Amino acid sequence: MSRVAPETTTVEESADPDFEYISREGAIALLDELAREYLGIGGDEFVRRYRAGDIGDVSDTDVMMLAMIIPLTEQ
Amino acid sequence: MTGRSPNEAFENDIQPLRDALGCITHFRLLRQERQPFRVNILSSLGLNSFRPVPLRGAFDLTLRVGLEFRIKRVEGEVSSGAGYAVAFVSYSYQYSTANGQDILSFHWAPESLGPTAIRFPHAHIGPAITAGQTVLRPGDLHRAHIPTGQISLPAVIRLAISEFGVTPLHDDWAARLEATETVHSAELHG
Repeated sequence: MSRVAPETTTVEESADPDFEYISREGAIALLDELAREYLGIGGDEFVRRYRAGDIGDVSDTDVMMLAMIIPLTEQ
Repeated sequence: MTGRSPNEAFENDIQPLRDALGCITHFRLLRQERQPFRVNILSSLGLNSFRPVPLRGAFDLTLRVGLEFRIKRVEGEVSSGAGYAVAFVSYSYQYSTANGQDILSFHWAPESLGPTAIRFPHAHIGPAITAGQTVLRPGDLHRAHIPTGQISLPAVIRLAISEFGVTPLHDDWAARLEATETVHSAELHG
C-alpha cells in the first residue's frame, strides 16, 4: 500500500516538460528507498529474491513497480 | 510510429503517453539518463518516480503508472527512414485512495519471474472496493486476477475522467485520448 509521498531526491533536476531523468546510481538509491518503504527490505535483497523467484506475490503492484526500476539500475 | 534511430523511436512512440497523461496530471515520467537507447535492452518509465500522483476531481484518487519497453529493430523499413520502434513488454496502472488503499489495478507482465507470476493481462478490484463483501471470496477477492485484454494507458485515463470524476486538465481531452489510444494500442500489440 503506497501513499502519496514527496518526490525522491535521487532524480536529476530537469527543465524538460515531459521527463525526469535518473542515473544508474540514482535508480539504485530509488529502488532501495522504495523496497524499504513497500517491503521492508533493501534494494539488493529485493533484486536477489525477485530473480530467485522468492519474493512472494509478484503480481502485487508494489512488487511490479519495484521490478520495473531494476532496468534503470542496469542502464 | 517508428524512428530512424532508437532515440528517435523513443521520442516518437512515448510522446503519445505524455500527451495522454497530460490530460489529468502535470507530473512527469521518469526515464533513464540522456544517453542512446540500446536495441533490445529492457528499460522502463515511471510516472512520478513510480510513486502515486494525486488527481483532482470528485474523489480523492491517486494514480500510479509504470511501463517497461524495449527498442526493437523494425526489419524492412530502414530504406523508408523508419528502422526502430518501441515495444512495450509490461505495464502496471493503479488507482488508489489518497491514503493508499487499492481501488483498481491493471497489470500485464508476461516476462515476470517466479512461481507466483501471472503473465496474462488482468485487473484487480482492490480492498477499497471489496472489503466487507461476502458474496465471493470474502476478505480475499482483491487477490483475484480478472482477465482483461491489453489495456492502453489512454484508456485508463479516459476511465478516470469519464467514470471516476477526475477533472481533465484540457477541454479537448477526449480528442487527445482518442489520438493517443490508437498509437499506444498498436504499440502494446506489437
